[in-house]
Amino acid sequence: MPNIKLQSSDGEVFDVDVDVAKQSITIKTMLEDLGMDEDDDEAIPLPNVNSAILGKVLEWCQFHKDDPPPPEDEENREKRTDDLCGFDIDFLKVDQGTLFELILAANYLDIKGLLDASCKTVANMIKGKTPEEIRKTFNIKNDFTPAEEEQVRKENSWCEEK
Amino acid sequence: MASSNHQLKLNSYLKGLKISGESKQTSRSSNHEGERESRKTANSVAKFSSRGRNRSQQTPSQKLPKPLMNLNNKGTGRRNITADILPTEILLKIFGFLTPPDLMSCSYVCRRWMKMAGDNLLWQPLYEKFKFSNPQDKPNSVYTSHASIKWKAAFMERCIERRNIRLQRLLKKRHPYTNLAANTDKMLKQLGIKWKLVLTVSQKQSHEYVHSDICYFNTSVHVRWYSVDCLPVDSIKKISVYCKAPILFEKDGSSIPESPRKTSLLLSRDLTAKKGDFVECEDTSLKIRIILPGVMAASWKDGGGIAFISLCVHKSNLVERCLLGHPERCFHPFVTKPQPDDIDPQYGLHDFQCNIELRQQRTLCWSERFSRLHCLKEQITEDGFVKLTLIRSFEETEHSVLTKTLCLPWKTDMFKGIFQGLCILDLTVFDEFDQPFWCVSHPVKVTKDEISERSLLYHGEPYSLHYTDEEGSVHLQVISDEDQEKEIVTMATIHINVKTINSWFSTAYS
Repeated sequence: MPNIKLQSSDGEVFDVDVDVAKQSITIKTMLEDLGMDEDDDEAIPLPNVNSAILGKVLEWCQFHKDDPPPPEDEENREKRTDDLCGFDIDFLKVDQGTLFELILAANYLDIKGLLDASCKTVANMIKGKTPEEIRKTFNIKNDFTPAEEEQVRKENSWCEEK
Repeated sequence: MASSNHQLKLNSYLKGLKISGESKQTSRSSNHEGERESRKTANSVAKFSSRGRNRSQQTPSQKLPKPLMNLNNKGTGRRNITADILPTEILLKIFGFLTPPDLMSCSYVCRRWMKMAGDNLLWQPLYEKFKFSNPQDKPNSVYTSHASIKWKAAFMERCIERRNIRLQRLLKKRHPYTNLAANTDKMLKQLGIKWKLVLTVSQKQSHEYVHSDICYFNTSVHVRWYSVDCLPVDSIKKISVYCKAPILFEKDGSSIPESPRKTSLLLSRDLTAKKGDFVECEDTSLKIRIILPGVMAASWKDGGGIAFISLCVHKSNLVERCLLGHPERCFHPFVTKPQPDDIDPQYGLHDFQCNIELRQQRTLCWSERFSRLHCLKEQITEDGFVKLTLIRSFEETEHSVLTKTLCLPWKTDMFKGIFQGLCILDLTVFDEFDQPFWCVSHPVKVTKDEISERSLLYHGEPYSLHYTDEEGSVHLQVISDEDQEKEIVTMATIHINVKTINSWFSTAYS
């Protein structure tokens, strides 16, 4: 199997199976556009992803390398969040910072499967919570002025929250 | 060949740098300028998936610097990274996995989330998920006919509309015994309606409570609030009861527990003008007062604070009143009054039906249905009331036995007791077309009957129950028979005010 080299933002070089790396549409496009040779020794720089995150991302790609390509008709599919596979659930049991960084990396590298799985994980963290619980979970500051809060309530006046 | 290869590599370098620069800016700016940024990228969730390709088409226009190693990335992360760093497109994608109730919660979290959680990109697909099976179920809302559609509002409106249409369909079926909507109990239970009591003490101070328990009877519902603050009854300036009913449902028709709820005002009354409340009844620890039609307030003898408030409400149109009202206005059902009908000169009124029940807070004591009631035209004029006789004291065959003693046991989370000589009267009078036109659910006192002659048929004390309102009055006599150890209703009459009759039947009796 041909390998390529990926360089993280902090300079670490990863030697990766091309098929594993190609789950990233960004990398795949690069390789196609570049017509990269297999024996090319130059590492592809990924200045947006640090080595810790890139390592995680590649771990995910390694596990999922034999997955069928994701279906296209995304709009029509039921938006479920309980369909994560066991590997993804365990894989995404990380601190929030890492989770968000993984999302950003998946977005940048354009890895649909990982982006979906990580976004669903965040969605599951929101589900069934009250606004205050959500704020606590994500450490978000309530920046509403009383007038604004009143405005939100007014907008939702025909139906109140829980 | 070699040179073009080189060019492409340069491209990729450039691309990496560009994205790197931009995204760093994004993550920095989103803390402070999240809103500006959100406007910029709010267009599409799908956009990011084609990002890689778009970028790769860009060409370098200047000499490239050496790629910088972003060492900071690793250090800054971990501790400071919060949901704020997520760009709008990602946040929208995450929100896309949420249900409407969760999106409602998100809108209360912070400014940025409020904007995101109300985004048309989320609500339009939700709105369009509605399959319009019924032709009259098409979108006709002001929101959808307007150029700038507020999909969230349209969605909510649609949910409410849909719920109401479904409920009205369910309400058509009549109960064979009570003639009221057959599914009332089922629907009230299934909806999981929250009954909210608001006691206003002063202009600025009011107390809100969700009901503690609820009991369903054939023709009425009994709601109680007992986990209430110990306010003195006299301090209450205004009392209001609201129904909070969910608007989102599962496919099987059951309501989603976290569903947003629409509020309907059920009753609201100013108590400041009401003077001369009298103690209706008392037991060892409580005294109970009737403060409004169907509403009782029980207060501790020791201290005078409220122990519980209870509401008896008749089932006629109850589901509609609970669901279709406005947060500030009660729902007034549209009633179809009967056509004037005076074919038989002998009879002023005919084919009345009447349903009377006496009950405790949880248990039914007596239920009877009387049909084919009538009143001669001559009898109407007597005293401005139409007298309908249900049970005659001299006709033993008409007498009816109570299954439970008339009293009102009560219970809060810690205490219990019994009010003797008090029970709830539920009355429904129907016209000849089975339309209810006089509905009562109200506590009545059971008092010793000193006036009536002792019945020769039974061995015991007679008691009487009286109820009067603008529509008319009810009078029952109960004898507690010592020989049979039973309580028997030996007499029952109702008087209906001629004004009530005239306004209902469009007649002109006097």
